[in-house]
Amino acid sequence: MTDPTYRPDDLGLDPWTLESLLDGAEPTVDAAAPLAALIASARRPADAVELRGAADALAAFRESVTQPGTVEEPTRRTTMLLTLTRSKLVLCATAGALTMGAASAAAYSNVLPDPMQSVAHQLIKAPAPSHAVGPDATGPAAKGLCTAYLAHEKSGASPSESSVAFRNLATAAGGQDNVATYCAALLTPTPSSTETTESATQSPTTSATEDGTSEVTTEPTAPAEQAKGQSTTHPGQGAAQWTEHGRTATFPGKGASHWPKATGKPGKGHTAPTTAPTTAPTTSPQDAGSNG
Amino acid sequence: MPRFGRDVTLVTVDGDQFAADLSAAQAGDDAAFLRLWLQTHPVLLRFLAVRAPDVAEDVASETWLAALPQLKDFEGTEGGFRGWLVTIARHKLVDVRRRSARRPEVLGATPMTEEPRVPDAAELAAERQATEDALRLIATLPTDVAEMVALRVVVGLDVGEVAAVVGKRPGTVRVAVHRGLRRLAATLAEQHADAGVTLELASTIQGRHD
Repeated sequence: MTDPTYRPDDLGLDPWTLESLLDGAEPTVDAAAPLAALIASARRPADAVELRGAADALAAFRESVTQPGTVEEPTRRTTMLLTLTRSKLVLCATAGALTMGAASAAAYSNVLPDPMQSVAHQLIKAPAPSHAVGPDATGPAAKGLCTAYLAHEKSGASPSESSVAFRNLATAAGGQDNVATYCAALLTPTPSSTETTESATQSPTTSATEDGTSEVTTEPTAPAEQAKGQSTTHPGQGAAQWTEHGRTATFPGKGASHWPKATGKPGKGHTAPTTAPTTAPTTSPQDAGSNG
Repeated sequence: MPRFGRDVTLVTVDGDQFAADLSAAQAGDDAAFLRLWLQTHPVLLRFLAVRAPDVAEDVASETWLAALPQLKDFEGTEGGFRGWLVTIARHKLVDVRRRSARRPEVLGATPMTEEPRVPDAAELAAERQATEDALRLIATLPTDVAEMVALRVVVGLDVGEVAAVVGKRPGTVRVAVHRGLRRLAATLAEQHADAGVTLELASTIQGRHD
């Protein structure tokens, strides 16, 4: 395409070329390559350092939302109630969702991986919690998944980036690297009450045995009790959705290692994973939310 | 169509998702708000890093605090949302400058690199450094041009949205941005020609051509 305003001294950077660079197109002339690189660097996806104010921003938002009539949900302050000695994520996810006290099985039908979903259906036979769930199912569902994600993180394993649940989280968070920040902020209940139940930090050394129980320590809701009671039924299902290889380096881990920082108050056992990969893939597959 | 190794950039927008998150956030959904924040805050921060690196984080925080009470009343697209926040930020910037006129608006260390100690610190630091170099280079342009370039490049606004923010005609914005970009290209070419090739950007470019 020619452009009447093109001049040789413009390094080939006619208006059309410049606009295409601004649109994110590959440079078509050599002289445009450095500029294209500059633009790409300026637009690099956010990293955890830039997102460290997330918890504060969310707290400010919650403060700004003053809606009389909204149920003051005790479950909102429910945080990590799981002891993950067995690290079976399906249990974590389900129990995590249930401890939110906020979900019917239907609310999760779109966000849980199929095996996880089927287990959830088996577990959620109890009547739906009586608590209000908030204005939108997105919130509670995200919290359930985040609870599972963070619990899984603490156990030392890396979630497989191909898992449906992780992809959903990545989409919600605006990228894989943001998942940890997103979840950490979302699960920081209020500035004052963060009595996070200490989770077991030991990693699973072997596959959980069939009698593996998820030791749910505190249960505000009936369904969670149900989960505790029945959790031995199908401990294996769904776990592979998150991680098939345990600690393989498929997950970049950038954001993950940052997430305690983002909360502003690293709790007990929130140490960065020691086995995090030292080198991340040069091009991380952003399969979530990509528009090409 | 990969864009320099990243399929998703900071300025990638998803109109449907934004609309859903906005209305949910306006109804009080904190997860939706958090998604909006995650999408928008880095953009705001980088815009401010061009305009006022020394106070970028403070101004960004003040911007959100000022925006929150009005969030319910906001109507518009994601570009409009970003433009709205940037407009608030520009006002806040004036306030901050007025309060403490201690440091002039010159290039300075952006406060983004305080705690880079992470397992994959090397790669992350290199990427972050490239971003900061890019923002710093944009900031070397005349202030009004730098701002328009930042709004186009970093915030991802279109010409019309930039024009609304800065109070200029779209044609003026378009020409000014092009002029700014050409000047950046010339600067980069000079740096590349220099023996040093110091910028991380340059090595990024090298990597592409190897």
